[in-house]
Amino acid sequence: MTRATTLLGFLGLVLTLLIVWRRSWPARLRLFVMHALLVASLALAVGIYAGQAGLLLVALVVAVLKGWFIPRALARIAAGTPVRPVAAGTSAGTALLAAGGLVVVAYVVMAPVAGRSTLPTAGAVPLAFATALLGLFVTVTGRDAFGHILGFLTFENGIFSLALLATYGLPSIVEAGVFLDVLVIVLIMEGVTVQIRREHDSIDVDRLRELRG
Amino acid sequence: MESLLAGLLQAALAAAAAPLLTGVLRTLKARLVGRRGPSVLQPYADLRKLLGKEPVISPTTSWIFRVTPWLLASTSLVAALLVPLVFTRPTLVPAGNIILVMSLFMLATFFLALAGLDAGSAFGGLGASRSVALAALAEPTVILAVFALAIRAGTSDLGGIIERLAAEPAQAVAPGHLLALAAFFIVMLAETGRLPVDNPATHLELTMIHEAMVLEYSGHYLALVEWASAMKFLLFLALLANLFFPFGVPASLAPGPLILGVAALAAKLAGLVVALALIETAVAKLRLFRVPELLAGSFALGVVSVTSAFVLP
Repeated sequence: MTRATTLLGFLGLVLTLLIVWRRSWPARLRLFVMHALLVASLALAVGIYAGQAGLLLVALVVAVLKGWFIPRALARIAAGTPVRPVAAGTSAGTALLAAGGLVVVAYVVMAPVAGRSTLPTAGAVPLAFATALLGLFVTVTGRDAFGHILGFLTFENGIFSLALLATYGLPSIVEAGVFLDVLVIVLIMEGVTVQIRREHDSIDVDRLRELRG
Repeated sequence: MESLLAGLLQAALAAAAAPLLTGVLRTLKARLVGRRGPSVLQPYADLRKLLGKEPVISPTTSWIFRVTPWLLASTSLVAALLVPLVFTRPTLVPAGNIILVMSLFMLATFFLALAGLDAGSAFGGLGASRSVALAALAEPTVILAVFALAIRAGTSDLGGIIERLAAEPAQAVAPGHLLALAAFFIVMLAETGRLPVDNPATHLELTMIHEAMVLEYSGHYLALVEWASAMKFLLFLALLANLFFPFGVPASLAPGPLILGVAALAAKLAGLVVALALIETAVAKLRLFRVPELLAGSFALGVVSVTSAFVLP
């Protein structure tokens, strides 16, 4: 059990690192789908081991919502933009080094918390926290609206796995509320980005900043 | 005495097998893209041809140019005495660990870069500057990846790491171990000049790194340089194979386990070469300015793997 959740949490962290690494949006979207499916299998694993039938339903909802529905909305948001930024100086090198530093920070912060817990999933708690931190990092440093939304969703995935691992299964009603929030946020964001693109021909944040007086 | 003899035998075996490994990889790659390709023994024929030719040396070069091929050959031979290939206790193991191995390779890289500059051609300088830039980014990651294993094994001695990890096979799927494997693999591609970083099959001035530095060499000097780079490739692959799949590497020097060790190494190398051939057929070379991104990625993986070795049980 411990081994399974640790491995899943770790794969999630690696996928998040890859999201920081890759520049092309179709690749990042594919990574996000894989990450969502990983979170779903984490919920499945915890559900089976903890004997909570509700979590199996949650896993199904995660897989459908985050693995299929939200990626479709994201693809609509990004459609028509260049596959990867063409501007110079967009190397992911510094971002990756910062990401490595954030992982160390996450370990340092969460290790005492995980050490005090007696749950079999405690070992993976720092990993989920690192995933959430990296998601926040992508949200802050994203170069266009797509990057911001992807970062936010990765952040949300991290928070979800953190809740799952730290409590050994949340009540399903809480999960349902969170899902509804995320879904609504993504749909609103889609509407907003479509508007932004119609007005400014681009969702690149740097170009939007030019308008400020 | 016996251990010294075995160590020398191991180095001789590596020296003899290195061109074969390169040849197998070339043939496999040719087959994968539908060409017949040269025989797997072609590198030996190339070396023999080069040894028979008269070397031509530019009169503007200094002693560095002539010493470098010998230095490359000797550092790779010393490294073959240090790296556990067919048994875990090579002759020089008490003398050093991964840091010594990497500094030997670094010495070779340094002198090759000097030799590239020495001839004074434009390509030599270009290759030298690229190779040094990449080496500075790649070298720390190799050490970091091996240290992630060393922390788990409780020893920085290469043979000790292998023995310890072989005793606990569950470690091989530990997340930190897998990450270190990924980091080491990426950086090995950069160090040995394989495809996403450098294309060993072309002489295209926009992309070449290693080939640009050795452009001025001919005759037996070129033979030495080519053989030394084949040696480096073999040593890196063997290091990857034995550290991350530490099975079937005997600690004793009895003939039975030793033969088993040779067979295990051959099998692991064959698997790695097939994987490399598949990767090299599937990926295109990265633009030079995106290579640091790749190496920074592998460095980040290395940092995470070292961290997890401290924190995860």
